[in-house]
Amino acid sequence: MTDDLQSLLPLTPTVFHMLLALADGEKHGYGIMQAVAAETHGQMHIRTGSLYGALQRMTAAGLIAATTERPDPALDDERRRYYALTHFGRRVLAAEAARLAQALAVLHGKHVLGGA
Amino acid sequence: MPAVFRLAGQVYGVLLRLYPRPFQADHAAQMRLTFGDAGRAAYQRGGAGWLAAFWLATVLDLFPSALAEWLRLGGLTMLKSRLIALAGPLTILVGALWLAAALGSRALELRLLSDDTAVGFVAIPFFLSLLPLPLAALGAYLRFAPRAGGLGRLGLALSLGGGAAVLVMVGLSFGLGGAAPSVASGAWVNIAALLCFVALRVGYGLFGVAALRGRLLPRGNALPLLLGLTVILALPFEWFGAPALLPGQWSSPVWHFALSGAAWVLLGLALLRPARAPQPAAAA
Repeated sequence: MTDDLQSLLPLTPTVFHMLLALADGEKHGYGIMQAVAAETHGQMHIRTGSLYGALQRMTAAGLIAATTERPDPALDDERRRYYALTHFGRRVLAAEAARLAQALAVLHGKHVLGGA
Repeated sequence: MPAVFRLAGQVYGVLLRLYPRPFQADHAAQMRLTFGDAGRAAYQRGGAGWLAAFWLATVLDLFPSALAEWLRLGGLTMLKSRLIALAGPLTILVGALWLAAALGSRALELRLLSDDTAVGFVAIPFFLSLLPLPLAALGAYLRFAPRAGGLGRLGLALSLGGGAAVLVMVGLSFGLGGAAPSVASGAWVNIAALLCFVALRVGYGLFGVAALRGRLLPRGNALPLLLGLTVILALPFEWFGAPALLPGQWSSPVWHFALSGAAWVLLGLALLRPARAPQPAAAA
């Protein structure tokens, strides 16, 4: 695992939205898929192969980790594996968000987003 | 529908074997769960059309994703070995799905099921069979091309190209069905699909001739030729109808699916055997 946070930036849209999906709590694979679709208003659909490939790489990079914590037993399916952001993953997400916010500020400054 | 979901899950489970073993060990069970959940959600949202589009998109995503995992491991040679080893099981899977389509087609003829249900039992196994088909052809190509000669290589390339093109055609047709329905329903779709299938079958036929001449397969060297001929023989029936001297049922899809399916299963069983050991030179 690398602690060189900057070397991971910019994140790909898939990784960014997957980290964002996990920012409010642990989720299983299908939960991440649903959250990404909902949070992008259906503009991004991650397919199963891409999802688990990304989970594999993100786990290897230390951004996320499989968690043993389970949700409410009534909502839980014990066959599922849940993933959570690591401390490092949260720092990377924050750094990426700051980078995007900086770009957004430039866009505002140049009136690119102005009331068209 | 539960049977269809179960069948799709099993096909997806076989396709997951395309991933490297460590990746399978970590994720295959979770991927099957996610595939099932997302498929049921697609069906509830938009019915059979959405479900078919979801399956197609998922499988088309699976191929590059599996390739990326192999590349990440630096294992292209291992990938080649895996594809060669999977050629037999995938060919059997294609045949089994065609046999299932034959049963559905027969149920349709006998009116054992409602038309809508029976068509589902024909169309779904048939479309599912298109997914492992190019991989089975690729595995056969990788295994036999080096010693198949010019004719055999041409046949293997045609079967691979035809199998891949059929899948692309179906994908285009689904994609255009949403974006440009008038284009998707044009005659060109049927003509292009027919050409792909002819290429596929002619390819197996040519490879079959080379297999018979060079005894390329561990056994059943006539099977690729039989597979090529089942549809080539059926084409005149498709175009001109069955001759009056044959019972009508001989021109029905039941026989087309059943004979081709059986030929595919037998060919797959033959491919399960390891390659022949090189023959020692004759003693002087």
